[in-house]
Amino acid sequence: MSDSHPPYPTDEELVTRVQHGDQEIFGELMDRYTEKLSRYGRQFLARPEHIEDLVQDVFIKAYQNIQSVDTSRKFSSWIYRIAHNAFVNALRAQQTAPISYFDFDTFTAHPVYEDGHAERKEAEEMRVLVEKGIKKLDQKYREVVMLYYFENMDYQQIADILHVPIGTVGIRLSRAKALLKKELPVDTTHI
Amino acid sequence: MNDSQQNIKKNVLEKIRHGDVVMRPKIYFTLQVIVVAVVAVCAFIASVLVVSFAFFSLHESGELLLLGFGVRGLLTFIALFPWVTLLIAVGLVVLLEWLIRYFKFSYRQPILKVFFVAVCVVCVGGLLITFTPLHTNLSDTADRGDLPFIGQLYEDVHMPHEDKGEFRGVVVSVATSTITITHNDHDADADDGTRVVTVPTNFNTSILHIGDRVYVAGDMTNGTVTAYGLSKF
Repeated sequence: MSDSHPPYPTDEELVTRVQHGDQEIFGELMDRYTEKLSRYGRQFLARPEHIEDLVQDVFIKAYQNIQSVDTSRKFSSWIYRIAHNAFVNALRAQQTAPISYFDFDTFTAHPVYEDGHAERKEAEEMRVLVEKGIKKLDQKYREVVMLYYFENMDYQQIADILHVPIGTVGIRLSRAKALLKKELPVDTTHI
Repeated sequence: MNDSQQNIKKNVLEKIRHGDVVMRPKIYFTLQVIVVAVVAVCAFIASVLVVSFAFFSLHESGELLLLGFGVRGLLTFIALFPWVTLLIAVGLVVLLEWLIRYFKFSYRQPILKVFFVAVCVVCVGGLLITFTPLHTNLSDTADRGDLPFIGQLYEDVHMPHEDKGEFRGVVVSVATSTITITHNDHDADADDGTRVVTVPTNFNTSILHIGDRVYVAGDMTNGTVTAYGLSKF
């Protein structure tokens, strides 16, 4: 018996159709990413009251620049990159203290130990910790934690979104975990 | 999706349908990449040329010999080093690094690693250019006064910094403890001159011959240079 359902198109297949002029398909991409980008933005910003406007701007920018998408690579990294820049700009406008561009973590090499299996196994525990403590983390740790634990991205994708070396993603993630375990009461770590 | 999220989709699609939001053509992005790549290549070529000029000026002026003249020579070398040229070269490498961070192969690497690799490539490139006749030819053109804009840079290479204790010239006479040198910076202006040099203690003047080009580090009093370092170059 053959499968009568058409295969679920990938993001990249949808992008190709938009690039060829099927503008209504862009709505399908928005369906897939509105909730994700809104969630990312809410954790990112100190005052996320205008998150819908920001996400709308992200989609507008995405549509304007969609011809630059290389469909052999992940569309999710590309759109998160746009969202990341938009949220950083919004954060800059909200904060009185300037956001530092200078981060020594991006200057030197850090060994990458991405043990996907082991890390994903502890992901559930970490997700609970992160939900409780994410607002206590610095911006640079918060964004990595969000992308890894809530958006299920790997180091490579996160590096592409933040435009930082892969080793920097690893070091930020491990520091964020250590900070969360240190900051939160002991009983929340026994999950 | 909640209502406000549905509104996002509705608003964006409305704008697209009405032509308020339009897609930029692919050529726009292709040109953008080409422009960044061309500027990066230009920055690379400029940095290699600047570094090669620094090597050329150190070699041509004889200032590298100062490193063999003890602590005082080292201090004079530091004072005479083309720091401005070096700063320009570093600035161009930083610009180059900033431009190539546009590309995936660069931003995935640590900044210091990319910077170090860029510096090495630029230095090797600059060194290789010094083995070509490029700067010698440009210098000759500058001496003839036919090199606009950068001609003065090459003229300055030939000018000794006598105020900082640096003298250069061709030996015209040799005695037991003194030599006479005449400076000719190969151009038609009036900065040429003759200097009497008292050679350093224990310096054997018999190795010098008339016509030798020498580099002298020392102090000048009453037209006579008392050298603490002297070498043929």
